[in-house]
Amino acid sequence: MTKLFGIPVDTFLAVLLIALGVALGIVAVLALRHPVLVKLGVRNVGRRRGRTALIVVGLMLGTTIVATALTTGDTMSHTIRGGAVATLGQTDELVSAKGAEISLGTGLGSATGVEYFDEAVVERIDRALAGQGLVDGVTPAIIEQIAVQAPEQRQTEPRMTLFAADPARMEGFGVIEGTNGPATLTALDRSEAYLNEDAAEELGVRPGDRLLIYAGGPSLRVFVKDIVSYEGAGTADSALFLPLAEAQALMGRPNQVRHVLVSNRGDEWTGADLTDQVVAQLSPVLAPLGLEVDPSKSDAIEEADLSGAAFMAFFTTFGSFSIAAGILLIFLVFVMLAAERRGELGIARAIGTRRGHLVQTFTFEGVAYDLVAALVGALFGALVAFFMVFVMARAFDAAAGEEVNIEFAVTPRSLAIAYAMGVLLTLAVVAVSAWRVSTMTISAAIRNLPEPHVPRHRRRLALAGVGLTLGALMTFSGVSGDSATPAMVGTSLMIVSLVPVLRVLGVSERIAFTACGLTIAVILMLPWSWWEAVLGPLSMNFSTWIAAGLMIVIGAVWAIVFNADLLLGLAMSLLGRIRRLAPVLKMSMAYPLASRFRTGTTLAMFTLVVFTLVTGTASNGSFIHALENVEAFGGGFDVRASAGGGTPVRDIQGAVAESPELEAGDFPVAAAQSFLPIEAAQVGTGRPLEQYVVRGLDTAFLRHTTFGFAKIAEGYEGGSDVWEALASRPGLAVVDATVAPRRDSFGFAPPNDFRLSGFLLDEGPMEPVDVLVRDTQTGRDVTLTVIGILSESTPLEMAGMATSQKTLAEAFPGRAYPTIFYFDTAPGVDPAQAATELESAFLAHGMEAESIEEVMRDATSASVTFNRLIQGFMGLGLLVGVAALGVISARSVVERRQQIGVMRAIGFRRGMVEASFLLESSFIALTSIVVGTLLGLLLAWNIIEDTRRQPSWENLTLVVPWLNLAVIFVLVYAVAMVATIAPARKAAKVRPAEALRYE
Amino acid sequence: MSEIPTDTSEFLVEARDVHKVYDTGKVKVHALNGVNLAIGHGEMVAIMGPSGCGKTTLLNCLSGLDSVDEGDVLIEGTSLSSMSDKERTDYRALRMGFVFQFYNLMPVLNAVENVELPLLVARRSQKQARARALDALDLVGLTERAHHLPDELSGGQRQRVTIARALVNDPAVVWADEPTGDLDSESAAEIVELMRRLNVERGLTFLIVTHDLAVGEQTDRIVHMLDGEVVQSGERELAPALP
Repeated sequence: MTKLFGIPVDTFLAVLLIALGVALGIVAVLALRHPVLVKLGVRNVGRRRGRTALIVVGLMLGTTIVATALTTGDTMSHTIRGGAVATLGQTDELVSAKGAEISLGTGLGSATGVEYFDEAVVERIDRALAGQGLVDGVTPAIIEQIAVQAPEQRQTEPRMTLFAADPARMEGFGVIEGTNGPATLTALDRSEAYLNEDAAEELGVRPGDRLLIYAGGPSLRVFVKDIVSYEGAGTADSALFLPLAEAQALMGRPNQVRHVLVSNRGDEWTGADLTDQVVAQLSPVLAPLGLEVDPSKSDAIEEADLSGAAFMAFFTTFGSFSIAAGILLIFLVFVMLAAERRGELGIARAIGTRRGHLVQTFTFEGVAYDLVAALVGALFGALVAFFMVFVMARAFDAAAGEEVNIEFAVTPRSLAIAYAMGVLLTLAVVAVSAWRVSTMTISAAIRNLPEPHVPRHRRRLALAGVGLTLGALMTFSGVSGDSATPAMVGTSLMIVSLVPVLRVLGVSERIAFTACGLTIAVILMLPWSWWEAVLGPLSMNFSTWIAAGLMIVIGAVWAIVFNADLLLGLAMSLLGRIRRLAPVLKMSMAYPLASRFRTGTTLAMFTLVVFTLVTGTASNGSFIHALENVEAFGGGFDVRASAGGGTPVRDIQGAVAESPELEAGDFPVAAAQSFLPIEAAQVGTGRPLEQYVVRGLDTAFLRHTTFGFAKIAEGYEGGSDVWEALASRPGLAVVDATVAPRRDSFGFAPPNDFRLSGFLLDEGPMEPVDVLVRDTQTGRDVTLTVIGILSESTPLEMAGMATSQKTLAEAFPGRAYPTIFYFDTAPGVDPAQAATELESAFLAHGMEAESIEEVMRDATSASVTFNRLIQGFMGLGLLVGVAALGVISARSVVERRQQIGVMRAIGFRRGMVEASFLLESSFIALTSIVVGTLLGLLLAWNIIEDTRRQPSWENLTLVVPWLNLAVIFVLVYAVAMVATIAPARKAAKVRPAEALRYE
Repeated sequence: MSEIPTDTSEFLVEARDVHKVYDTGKVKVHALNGVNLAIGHGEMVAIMGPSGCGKTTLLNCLSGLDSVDEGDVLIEGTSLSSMSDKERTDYRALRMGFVFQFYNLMPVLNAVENVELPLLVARRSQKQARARALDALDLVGLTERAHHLPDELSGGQRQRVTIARALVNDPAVVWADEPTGDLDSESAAEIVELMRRLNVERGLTFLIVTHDLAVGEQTDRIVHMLDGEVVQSGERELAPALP
C-alpha cells in the first residue's frame, strides 16, 4: 500500500480534506459574520504588490517541495506502468509451464529446461473462457531469446526476442504496423521475418537484407520482409517476428509452444482489471497440466505502483528538512507582517476592536495569501518534478545502457494532498501569529515602543514541566521499544525544557541557551556506539536522521545566536582595521545581533539546507567511492557474460579451450552459474513459499570468487571458508543481504516477499538457517542450509540464493544448466576486448558479455547522477532561504528607513548603506555555510564510522567531495546575495530628507 | 574621502534666493519661496514659524540633505549644488553635526558606539574614534552611560548622546531640528543650556528649527518664516541684504 509519512495515502488525503473543509468552513462562517473584518484583512493584500508577491513566494515553497515529491512518485509509477504496457502490449496473462516466469527482475539470468507444452492446450483455454465475455484474444506463442547476425552488414545482436504466434489468432493483440500499413504474420513466407525498429537499427539492416538466426541449433537464414512497429509480449527491445510454425521448426518443437497469450477485453491499460476473473477461470483447468496462468500485466502494474510509492516516500523523506525550513519561513513571514501591522492594529484595539476580531482580521489576510500560495506551490512543484524526472531519465539511461522513456504524470490526488497540506500548515501558523499579535500592549503598539517585559515564570515553568515529562516519556518509550527516534527526540525535548527552569533559577539567558543548545548538538553528534553503550541497542531509520538533524541545527543555532556578539567582536577586531570598512561592518553586524529571533530563524533555515546537503553529499559520495572498486565489484573476475536460457554452455572451460576464435590463455579462469526461479520459505517459520531465485555456482567460481560477506554463520571462520564449504559440501548456500532482517532500516524499496528471520544482519550472531526451495515447474524441492549473507556492496547481479552447481543440478536435473559466466583475464588482456571476443565466439548461444569495469562505471555513474538529483531536490530548500532573506531585507529597509536617513546625514555614502545590508546577509550566509558544513561533515563521519562496524563496509572511508561542496557554498552565498541585492539598492536610494520625516 | 574646500567667505552658511517645490504628481507644494539667509561663524540661530511654513525644508536644503530647485546654498563659501552627492555626503561627515527631534540614535549601538560612528565614517582609527567619542560624552556629562543602549537612557540623556555625536567630528555647524520637541520642560531646558554652552565655549555654530519660544530666546537671532518665506530675522529686523 502506498504510504506517505507512514500513513496510507488515501487515508492521508481523506483526513487532509476533512481537516481542510473544517478549517475553511470555520473561516467562512467567521467571514460571513464579520464582513468588515474580511474587508480590512483582504484589502491589505493589494496594498503593496511587490511585498505580496514575496509573501506568496515564501508561503508556497513548502507546498512546492511536497508537490515535487508526490509528482515524482506519480511519474515514476506511470513510467514503469508504461514500460510494462509497452513490454506486454495487449497481453494481460501468460500461460506457461509452472515456474517459467518470474517477476523479481534480477536482470541477469535465464532458466534452462523450461518446458514447452502441447499447442492443443489453447483449445482447453478457449473452452474455459467461452461465453464469459472476459477476453478478446487467445494465441499460442513462442517467445524466446535468440541471436541474430546480419552477415553483409557484419553486425550481430547476441540477444534478441523471437516473437512467434499463430497468425490466425492475432486478433485482440494489436496491430503489427509495417512501413506501408498493417503487416500480418500470415504474409510472411517461409524464409521471411519482420524486425522491429530497434532490431533493424542494431543490425543496420533494411527490408530485403539477409539474416542468420541462431537458436541453439543450426542457423536459419531469413530475409527481412519489413521493419515493423509492435507492442507485444517481450517485444519492447530488439525483436524478430515469425509465424508460429516457423518458430516451432527453428526451435525443434513441432506442435509445441512455450506460452499461450491471453488478451482481456479492453485496451492495454484496462484489460488488467479482468485478470482476477480470468485467472479464476483458467487455474483449475491448467493446474492438472502442470501449467499456470501468470497475471503478468496486473503484477507489473502493481510493481509499478509500489515503485512509484517508494520514490514518493524517498523524496518526501529527503525533502523533510526543506519542508521544515518552509514552515519556519511561513512563521517568519507572519511575524514580520504582524510587526508591520502593529501600529494600526494597536489603534484598532484602542478604538474598541476586540482581540478576537484582530485575530480574525489577521487570519483573513493570511488565508487570502495562503489559498493562492498553496495553489501556485502545487503547480510549481509539478513543474520542478518534471525537470527532476528529466534528469533522472539520464541517470537511468546510464544504468540501463539504453534510453529509458520517462513519461511525466501527475495525479489529482497528489496535487490535492500538496495543496491541502500547504493550506493547513500555513493556516495553523497564521492562527498562531494572529493570536500573538492580539496579545500586544495597546499603548506600546501605537507608540512603536517595544513590548514591556512581563515575567511569566509560572507559565514557563508549567511549559517546562510538560516538556520534561513528555521528553522523559518519549525517551523511555524509545529505550523500551529499542527505537532511536523517540529516544533522541525525547532527550532533546528534556534539554530544551531546562532553559526556562535555568532562567527562573537566575541563570543568564546567554548561559542557559548556550549550555542547552550545545548539549543538544554535542550529544546528538556523539558516535552512535556511545548512545548504545548507555541506552542499549536502538534501531534507526530515516526519521532518526531527520529528527536528529533538526535538533542538532536548532541547538547549534541557539549557541551561535546567543554568543554572536563574541564572534562578531572577533570579526570586527580583524576586519575593522580596514577603516573604509569599519562603520559598514559595525552597522551590518549590529542589527542581526539585536534581532535574535529573525537572525536565528533565518540562520536555522540556511543551516538546515547546508547541513543536509553536506551530510548527503559526503556520506553518499563515500558509499559510491567504496563501490568504485573493480576487484570488489567483480568478485575477483574481469568479465561477466550470459547466454540464452535455451542455449546454455554446459562446459565453459572446454568451450573456451576449443574455440578457434579465442586464446585459451587469455582466460585463465572461466566460471559458470546456473539460474533457476523458485519458491522458497525458511523452514520452521510457517511462512508460505514465496518467489525467489537460486544460482548454481560451479567449482571454478567457488574457488576463485572474492565476494565478501555481511554475516557468516557460527562455525565458519571467514569468507573463503564459506565458499570452500559450498564447494566441498552439498546442500549449503548463501543469500543476498536484501532478504536478511536488520535492526536499522534505511531503505525505500518494496521489501522482498521471501525473507529470513531469527537473526539480525547488523548485530548479533547467526546460526545456519534451513530454507526449503521448490522448483514450481517440476514440483521438486530441496532443503538448503544458508551459512552466509553476501555483503551489501555485492552487485545486484548476484542477488538470490547461491549454492554449488552440483547441489542444484542434482536437486533439479535438466533445469540448471549454466547460462551465466564469469571470466578472469590474464594480465595484459583488455577485458572490454575480451568481452567482444567472447560474444563473437559464442554467438550461437546468444552470449552477451561486458567487462566488469564497464558495468561498475555504469552503475556508479547512475548513482552519481541520482545523488546529484537528490542534492538538487534538497537544495530546493535554498529557495526557502532566498525568500527568507528577501522578506527580512525588504522589511528591514522599511523599519530602518529613518535610521538610514540618519546614516546618510552623518556621512554614510549610498554604497556604504548598500554594503551594510549586503554584509548583513553575508553574515547569515557565511555562518550557515561554516556551521552547516562542520555539522554535516561531523554527522557524515558518524554515519561512516557506524557503518564501518558492519562487515559489508569495512573498507568504507569518509571521502569529502570538496569540489562539490565548494559549488554548494558558492551557490548558497550567491543565492543569499541575490535575495538581498534589491532591498539593499532600495535602501541606498533612500533620500535622507524624506526618510528623516518618516515615522 | 572628498577634499573639503577652504572657507573664504564672510558667512558660514548662505542661502541665496532658494526655492524648493515638492511635486506629488497631483499637487505642487512651494515649500520655499525665494529664501535669503546668512549665518555667521559662531552664531546660534533659531528658525521659527507655524507648522508647514518650511522650517525643516530650509534646514534640509541648507545642510545638503535635500536639493534646491532654484537659487543656491553656500557652505563655507562653496556652493552645495556644485557638489556631487558623494561630496555632499563626505562634507556632512567631516563638517556637520545633526540633532533631530526623535533622537535618531541607532537602537542597536550603545551610546559610545553611536557617538563614534561619524568618526569611523570619516575613516579615523577605531582607537582614535573611541577616545574622542568618550571625550564628547564627557562634554555632555554622560561618561557613566557610555555603554548603555538607547533603550536604557532617558529622553534627555538620549538627546545628549545625539549632541555628543553631532560635535564629535568638530563640525563647522550643527543642525538641530526640534531638538527639544519630544522632551519634558526640565530636560528641554537642560538641552538648550548645553547647546548654548557649547556655542559660547567652543564657538560652535547652531541652526535650530524649533516651535519652542523658550529655545528661541536662548539664541542670538530668531528667523521667522511663514509660507516658505523669511518674514523676520531676530534682533536684526531683516536679514542682511546680499549683493
